[in-house]
Amino acid sequence: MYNGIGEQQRIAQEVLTTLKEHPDAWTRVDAILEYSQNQQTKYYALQILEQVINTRWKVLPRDQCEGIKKYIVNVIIKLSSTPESLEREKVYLNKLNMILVQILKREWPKNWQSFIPDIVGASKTNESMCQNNMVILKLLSEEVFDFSTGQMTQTKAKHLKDTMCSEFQQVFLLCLFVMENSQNPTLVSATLETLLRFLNWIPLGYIFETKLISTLIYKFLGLPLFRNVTLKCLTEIAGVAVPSYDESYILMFSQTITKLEEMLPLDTNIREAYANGQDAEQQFIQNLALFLCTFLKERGSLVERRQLSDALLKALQYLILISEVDDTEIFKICLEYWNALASDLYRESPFLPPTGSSPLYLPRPTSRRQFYQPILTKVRALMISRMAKPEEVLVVENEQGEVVREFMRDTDSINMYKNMRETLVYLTHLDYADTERIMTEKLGNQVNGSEWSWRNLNTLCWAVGSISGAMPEEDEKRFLVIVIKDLLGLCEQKRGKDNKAIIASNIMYIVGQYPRFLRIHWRFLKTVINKLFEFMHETHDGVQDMACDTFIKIAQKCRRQFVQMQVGEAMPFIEEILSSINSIICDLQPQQVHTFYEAVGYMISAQTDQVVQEHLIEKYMMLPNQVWDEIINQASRNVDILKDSDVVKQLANILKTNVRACKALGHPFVTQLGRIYLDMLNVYKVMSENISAAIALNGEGVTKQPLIKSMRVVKKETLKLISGWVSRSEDHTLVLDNFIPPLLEAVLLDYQRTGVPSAREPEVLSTMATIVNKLESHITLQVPQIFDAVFECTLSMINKDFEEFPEHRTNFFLLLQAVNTHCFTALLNIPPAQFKLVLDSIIWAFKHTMRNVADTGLQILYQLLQNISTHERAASSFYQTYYTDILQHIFSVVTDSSHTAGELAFVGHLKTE
Amino acid sequence: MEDLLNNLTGVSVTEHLNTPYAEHPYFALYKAKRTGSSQEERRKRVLDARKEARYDLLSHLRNIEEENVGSEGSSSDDSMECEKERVCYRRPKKYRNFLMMSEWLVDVPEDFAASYLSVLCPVGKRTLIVSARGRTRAYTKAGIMVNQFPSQLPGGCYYSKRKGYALLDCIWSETEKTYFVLDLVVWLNQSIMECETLFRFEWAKSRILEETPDATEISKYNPYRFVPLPHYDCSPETLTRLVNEPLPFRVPLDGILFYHKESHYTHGPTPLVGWLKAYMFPEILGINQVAQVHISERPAKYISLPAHIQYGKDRQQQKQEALNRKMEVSDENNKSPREKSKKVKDVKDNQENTSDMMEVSAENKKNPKGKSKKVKDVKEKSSEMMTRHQSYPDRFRRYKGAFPFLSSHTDATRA
Repeated sequence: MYNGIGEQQRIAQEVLTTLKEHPDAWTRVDAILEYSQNQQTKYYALQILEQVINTRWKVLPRDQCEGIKKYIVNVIIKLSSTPESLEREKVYLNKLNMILVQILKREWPKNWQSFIPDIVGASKTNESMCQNNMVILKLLSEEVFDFSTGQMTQTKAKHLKDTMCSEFQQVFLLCLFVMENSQNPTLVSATLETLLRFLNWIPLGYIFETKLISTLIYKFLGLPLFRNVTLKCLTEIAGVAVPSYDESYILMFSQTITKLEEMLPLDTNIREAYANGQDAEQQFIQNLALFLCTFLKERGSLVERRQLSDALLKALQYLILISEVDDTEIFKICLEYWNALASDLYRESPFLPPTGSSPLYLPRPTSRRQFYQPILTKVRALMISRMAKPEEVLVVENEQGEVVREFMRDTDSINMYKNMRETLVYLTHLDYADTERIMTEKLGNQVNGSEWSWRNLNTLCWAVGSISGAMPEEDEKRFLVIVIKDLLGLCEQKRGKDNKAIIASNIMYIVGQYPRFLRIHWRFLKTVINKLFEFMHETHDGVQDMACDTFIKIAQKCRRQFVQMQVGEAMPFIEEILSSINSIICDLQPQQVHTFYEAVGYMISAQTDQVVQEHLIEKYMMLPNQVWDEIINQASRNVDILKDSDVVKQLANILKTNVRACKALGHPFVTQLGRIYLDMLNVYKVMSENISAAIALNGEGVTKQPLIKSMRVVKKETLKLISGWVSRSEDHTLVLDNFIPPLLEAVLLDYQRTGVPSAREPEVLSTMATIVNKLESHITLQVPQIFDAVFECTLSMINKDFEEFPEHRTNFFLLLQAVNTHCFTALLNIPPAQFKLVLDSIIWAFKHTMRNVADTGLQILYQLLQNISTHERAASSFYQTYYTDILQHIFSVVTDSSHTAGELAFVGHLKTE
Repeated sequence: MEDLLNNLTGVSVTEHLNTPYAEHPYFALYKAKRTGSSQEERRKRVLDARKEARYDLLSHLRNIEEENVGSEGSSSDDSMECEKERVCYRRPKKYRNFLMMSEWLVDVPEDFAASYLSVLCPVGKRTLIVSARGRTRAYTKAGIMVNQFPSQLPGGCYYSKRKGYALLDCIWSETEKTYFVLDLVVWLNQSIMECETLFRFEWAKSRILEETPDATEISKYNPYRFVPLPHYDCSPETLTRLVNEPLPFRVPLDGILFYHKESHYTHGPTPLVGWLKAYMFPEILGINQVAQVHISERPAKYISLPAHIQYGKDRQQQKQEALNRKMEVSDENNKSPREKSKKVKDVKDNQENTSDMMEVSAENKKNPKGKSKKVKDVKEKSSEMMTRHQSYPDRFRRYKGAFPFLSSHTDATRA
């Protein structure tokens, strides 16, 4: 089968599957194992056996069970009795071990009380068997202690654990015996591996009241073959949550550090050693990092108290050296500790002035800070030279074929940045002069060329940007002026557009990070903004994007500065921007223009005088409104103009500008929205008719054409604009009286009438959900109207299967959820037949395998039951009619293995009903 | 902080002195840090460099000719030569920074009226039009294609796809659906990049109007108009007329471009093309009569020039006071009272003349005599300022003297 191809393979597969599914297939397993010469066949047989054990063990006759058990044990013993066969049949034996453990989980201790004595006894016969038994014990420990959740009941797991603990002594003695006496390296490392699994659960006495720790350190830590697993054991011991045994820990720490010094002198260049090292050596560095971090985090204060400063300093130095290793995972391990240390030192006395600069009359900084000071300086340098990237932008093409930039959230690098920033901010609070010194020095190295590279410069500037606000204001100002001055000098010094672009971006990044500085230096802020406007005409790659991104960042943080009258100015700066908006944006791409508009919107939103603000908004939207009016004028003469692809694209563009403006302005956008609202809904209707007509004429394939796609964009953006504004609106009656009626009339009717399901916009549903969520009970009266229009036609789209129209599906249930949460009385008032439909669709929802839909469904049901229970009258008839029904469906879902967690919490609630 | 602002104003990625995207240096509060020389000098350098290049090419051709004399296959060589001549400008793959961009007109040359042509520019987006192989494409100055459509230009639509290609430098007006043709680069495979401005302008007008008049009207295969922009001479009379009479297009006026007559078509910014807003005419060109519609576009900060002057004065006052205080401390012992009073007098003069205080007082220390001469110069100039002069550079210089808060860079370099 594994060598066959195509048809042949398929047939073979089928035969095997039938065999596997045959209920009595397992009875042939022993024969196969006995006589087959083919590894894969044996493996396959074992799979069949495993399945039987996992699913049908309890129903097999007892003697059959005994038979299987004995057979497996015999095979294992046979194979593991000589080192040669052990080596040869490694994979096969592994599978057999696995099967044995599966049997054990069911048999031991009740039907196989003597298992532990058996296996310990057997181990003493010869070394290879002992080695395999260690593997079995390790597997058992893992199964029982690490992976037991979800596989067995808690009582069962507890019972197994207790049994294992009570019989552990024999196992432990066996391990110690092997560790002390065996000369066989593979056996020893198998034993250590097994011990490692035991360490997190065995009774503490075994660890601390025996020679275990010192054996580990003195006998095995120094040996390259065992040092990795030994370190892991020590890490495990260091991490045990136990308040006592301080002496043992102290001893362990100093002994380990002494031993480490022999193995790895402190002047080793760990960074290089790691880069050139083998796999196992790299592993060792990582394990060392883990050990040191775990120990210092758990027992650091203990070590401090015992005045083991020498060993502690050495440990910290190791950690510094390891932090320099060029590997993200290792750095993350170290970072976690540095972060904990810095925050601990800071929180201990947050208001103490940094060391060195404290006036005499204040108490001297605690000796703790002094002790850590040299280390912290190194950590600062480390953070600054390795600062991660603060934001990630992805350039992607969306479904409408437009190239857009997306800001990524929650990527690895961004999380790392957040941690590093936090650490560096604590460190700066502890001693800002030192941070400043290091940064200035690094900047000097950029300027004099000794460390000049794009990467280094970026890293440094991210670091500079990350500590915004951590220094006292005056110092920050002084520092920032120096940094910017140096960068400007660097920019002048370097030749080539690429260099200049990088430096300019970095200057702008830093400037954008320090809004506090910008807010009190108006002339500087204005110069920066004018420079950004200049960059918006730059043709070099990425500069325009940088300019727009920085502009919106600054606009958000300093918005008030632009609408206020500043000293030495004839008018607020926003007026200047608005009057030259045309020439500022003339070289920008559409999506950059949208960003620009959003940014200006933030500025206008800071104007608190309503009259002035309205005037600003009018001027602000003048350009898009001009084009809009022109198109609407033409369309009112000849509606066919709305089929022109240029016009449709322009409309989409204008609407997108409006969406961004609305996002920034919030409720005050109402003046602009009111201006275009009715025309916009008319355009929506026309677009919809055009799409329907095109589909009627040419079939559904036509929806892939660019023109139809951009018509859909117009529809989508219209809905986005409306829902965006409604969710930001502040006046319920205004929305309800002026905006909702025409919306329902135009959009809902259109949704219902659209003959082709795929032409219906899922955003209609989400818009309705947004409106219901925002207006809450105020819109209860309109809910029947909404339901009439969207309920049945959407339901008929999604009740055929669980996959089609995923967006409609999600949004439909979100709407249902919104209505159920806020307008429950509307649900009570609908006729029984429709209510049944609603309930059925809820049940339909939580039967989905789509995680979000199923979750929404359960949440709706939960909320529904809660709502019902508050309505006495409705409750009784509801329970009579639907309760058993709901229960049935719930159980059917809970018992289905394709639905995992989530339901369990829910069952609890049902019980209480 | 002042330094910082000055330096920040000077930061650029693509070197573009006097870029029209920043404030006109004449009006700007902060002057971009200049490393290069004045606009006029750069103009000369560009023109000289080209003359030299042309001379090289000529001598090169002559050499070839001389070599060819006497060789047997002269006729075939001639045809080769002809062919070489006919080798057309290759359509560049990328159009980034293809367009010829302007600088603010800062230094107005002596022979401005005779050596420049002016073009009124409508509000719109600068676009490069490439019509070839049956399609017409529009590119931004960053080389991004923004539109594609048929046109009646050579090679611009399906029916003319074998007709060669054309490259036009245009201003796109969205409201008028019109590409205003500013300049012509290639027509029917024939590059005229190496031709002088007047020829290019005339060629553009005549080719479009005579060969493809259909391109100027909207039709099925020409959805946008292509309209050549008219050009004018630069005599003060014409310029006055231009900013007072109705515009030749229905779009608002953006500004006026000034092309040096000897300029070829080059890529990117060049000092040989200048740019002004109409409301800058009084200050830069000394044309005081400008239609109100243009003057009203003046940003408020220009209207408040007196306020700026006041601001500059205040700052100087502060500096002076600081200086005085310093001097009082340091000078008291080692300077004679006479000198001191003279200094104070100088200082007073300077304040009256609103010239650069720091510089003056600094030089005063070293050479009081020479300084007083300079002060006198300034005085004279400021009195002349009241009378109107025809020659541009003089006028320009004099105005500069009136705004002391402008940094003295250009004055210094010119001196």
